[in-house]
Amino acid sequence: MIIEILYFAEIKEITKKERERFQISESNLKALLNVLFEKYELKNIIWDEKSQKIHNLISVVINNQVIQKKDPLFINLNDGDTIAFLLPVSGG
Amino acid sequence: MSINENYSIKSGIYNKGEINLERIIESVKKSPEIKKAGSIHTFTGIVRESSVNGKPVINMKIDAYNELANISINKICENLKKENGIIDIKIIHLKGDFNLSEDLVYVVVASGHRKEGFKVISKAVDMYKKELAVWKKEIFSDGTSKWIH
Repeated sequence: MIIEILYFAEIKEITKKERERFQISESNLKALLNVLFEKYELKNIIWDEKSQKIHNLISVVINNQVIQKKDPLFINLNDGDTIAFLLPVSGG
Repeated sequence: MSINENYSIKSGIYNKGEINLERIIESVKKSPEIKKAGSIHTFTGIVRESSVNGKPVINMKIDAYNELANISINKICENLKKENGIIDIKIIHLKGDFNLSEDLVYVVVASGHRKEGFKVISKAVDMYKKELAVWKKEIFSDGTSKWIH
């Protein structure tokens, strides 16, 4: 399954990319995060070690829709989905 | 975002240099209901020389998730257009690299009477700051920088 991740702000600076496609074998966010954290130093930004969940300051967006679930780790992904992990916003 | 020759400017995220306040006001003046308006209010957010804690800022970078931010901007505009006396509203947020005092954001509201316009433009600013998928990075005079959250 191919999933595309969009990168913004600090996350974009770390990956040095605007977007990237990943192949994952399991169709959930946890599998995608494992692949992402293996490639980039993003765990300290996105992941909360204490709760073993995505940090509560991070908004997860799938196909331009903000996911409202408190723990989206095992949300089902579909081939071709576009995902973004957003830090709190700060308009000008 | 795209701009056509009929001044039909859509609210949304634009690259720096793509648009200016004058063109947005001209677009609002082409609104079908503009004859009902008695005032046009504008807000321009610009780059300040210091961060909230007083650290000297020399430049600013704005990043945006265009698709998501555009959805939010349109929702804000649609909701605020329903407020009493509001004829038209445009919210334009720029992205890119900015120097001090350069424009970052424009909000333009046409209203039947001034009080309605003042109220709604203030609401629009509060809403875009809270809701848009936009991030700013302050670059400081000591060579450091920080994304603001």
